[in-house]
Amino acid sequence: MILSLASPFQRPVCRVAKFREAEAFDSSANAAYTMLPWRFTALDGNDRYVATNLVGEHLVLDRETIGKFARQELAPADPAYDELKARHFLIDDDTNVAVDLLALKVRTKLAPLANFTALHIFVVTLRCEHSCPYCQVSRANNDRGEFDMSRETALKSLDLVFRSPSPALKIEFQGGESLLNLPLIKLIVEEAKRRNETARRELAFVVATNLAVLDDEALAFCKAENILVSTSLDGPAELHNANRPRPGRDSHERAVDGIHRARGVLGHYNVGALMTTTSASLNQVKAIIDEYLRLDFGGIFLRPLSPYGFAIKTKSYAAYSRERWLEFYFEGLDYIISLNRQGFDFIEHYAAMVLKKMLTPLQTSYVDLMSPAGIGIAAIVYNYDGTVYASDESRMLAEMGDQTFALGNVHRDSFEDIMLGDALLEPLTQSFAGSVPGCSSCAFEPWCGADPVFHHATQGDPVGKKPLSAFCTRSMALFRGLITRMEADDDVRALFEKWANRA
Amino acid sequence: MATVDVRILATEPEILCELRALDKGTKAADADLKFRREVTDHQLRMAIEERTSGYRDLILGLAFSKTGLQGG
Ligand code: SF4
Repeated sequence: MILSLASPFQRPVCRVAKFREAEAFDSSANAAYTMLPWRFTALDGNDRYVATNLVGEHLVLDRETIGKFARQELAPADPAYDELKARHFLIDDDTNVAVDLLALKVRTKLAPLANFTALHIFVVTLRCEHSCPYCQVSRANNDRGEFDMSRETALKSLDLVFRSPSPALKIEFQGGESLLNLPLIKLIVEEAKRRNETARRELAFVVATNLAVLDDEALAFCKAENILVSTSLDGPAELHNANRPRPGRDSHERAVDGIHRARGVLGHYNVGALMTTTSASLNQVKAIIDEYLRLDFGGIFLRPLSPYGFAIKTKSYAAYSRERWLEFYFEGLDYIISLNRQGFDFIEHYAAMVLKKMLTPLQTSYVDLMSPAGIGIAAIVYNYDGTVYASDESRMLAEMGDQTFALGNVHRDSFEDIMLGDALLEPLTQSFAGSVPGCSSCAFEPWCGADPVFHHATQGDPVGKKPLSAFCTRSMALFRGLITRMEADDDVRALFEKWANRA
Repeated sequence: MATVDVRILATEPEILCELRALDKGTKAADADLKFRREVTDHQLRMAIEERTSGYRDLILGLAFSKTGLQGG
């Protein structure tokens, strides 16, 4: 088929006679105020709109008010006027410090970006004794050392860790099952601490483990070196064991036993847990939350399944729709809110991170909710074979044969090669939310993220078309859901403010 | 993921493209629609980028500001 296009890469020309010139819509000459940058979007079917300013402070306004404000016809006597003024949506003759204040807030919000990579993930082995169908990295028989990181790779990776200017460095050990390569974890911790005697960073370590092979040696080591433990807990025994098959079908029993033992040695709050949502989880959100409560966790992170690795291979990702996940999520969130009303101090971490962006001048370091994207900037992965990936999701993608986000190799490439290579800079630049269709005009952009890896995995390019993006649908629903709940109930607002300040 | 192969046959006075479906399931009308949608999207991307690249580059510059990698 032959197709002819008139200059497809020229900017669209919009001078059609029946439209009036832009100046005709600009009433600023007579207005009592000047608008600062702001965006708006519909909140719900009740003619309510969310307006956000440059730093993500928001107001919910009715259609009439938002129309008047946009046309610069809002009277100073209108109750919304002072609210808009206080949140830097407008300046007038009385306020000459507002712009400086807004600039200060922008600086505060963006300042952590300059810290660069704080999270360094070491994949110390791909070996694992579990065979979870949704596991996002290739599993390997647990007696094959070829999937272990070598000493040389670990030391070269540490060279890169300490090139990061971040005053706080967190090294997280992942697998496979990371504890199957405990000797290497010991070496890395010892060496990182030795180097830190001169580097003087705030150094922290996390071991991500399913706890099935946790023994006294590993626990004593974690205790001695002040290492946190992060484990997987998908819910009650039946669900957890179905999600996480292992010989003996006792994954849940081992995880619970490990949680108790680790808390006993390391302290209650030094053991965290993450859950994965599978199609089997969808009807059990309350039971999952109850399990976290029963085990005395202070919160839960209700995570969606990612479109990577075995999750795609085994069709787990396609097993439920984004709408079904959102139902699951909000049922869980409302249940957690009701638990808090009953006196349980329990948090939903995903909401808390978003609320931190919505309600405080601070950012979160959650890679998915960052723009510029968190790849490389917030987190980086050193794979067992020395390949450096832009994020954990990037290496999951690579396990499926897609090396797009492989940034280099610790044995071959320098810090400069890795951080200034096209594999990182291109997606970072292209996906910057303030510069892409959809996001650049979206009221939720200050709270949202770019997530180039997700969009590459699902649409084949790091930007993606947002109307087709499950990430976008999910984020919009989440933002609207949180605001609607806050608007409907002052107790929920107070609870969300508490979460925002704790996240 | 790509379902259509595009070859540019001419750029003057008009841009002339030849579209070939990469799989048998893709109909000509679908390929045409998909391609036009892609062109519109990229046109929009370029227009927005032109307006916002200064802001974007400033923020990316901030992210790299302490790495010692700038100015090379
Ligand atoms: S991904 Fe969607 S919700 Fe997020 S900023 Fe872009 S358009 Fe808005």
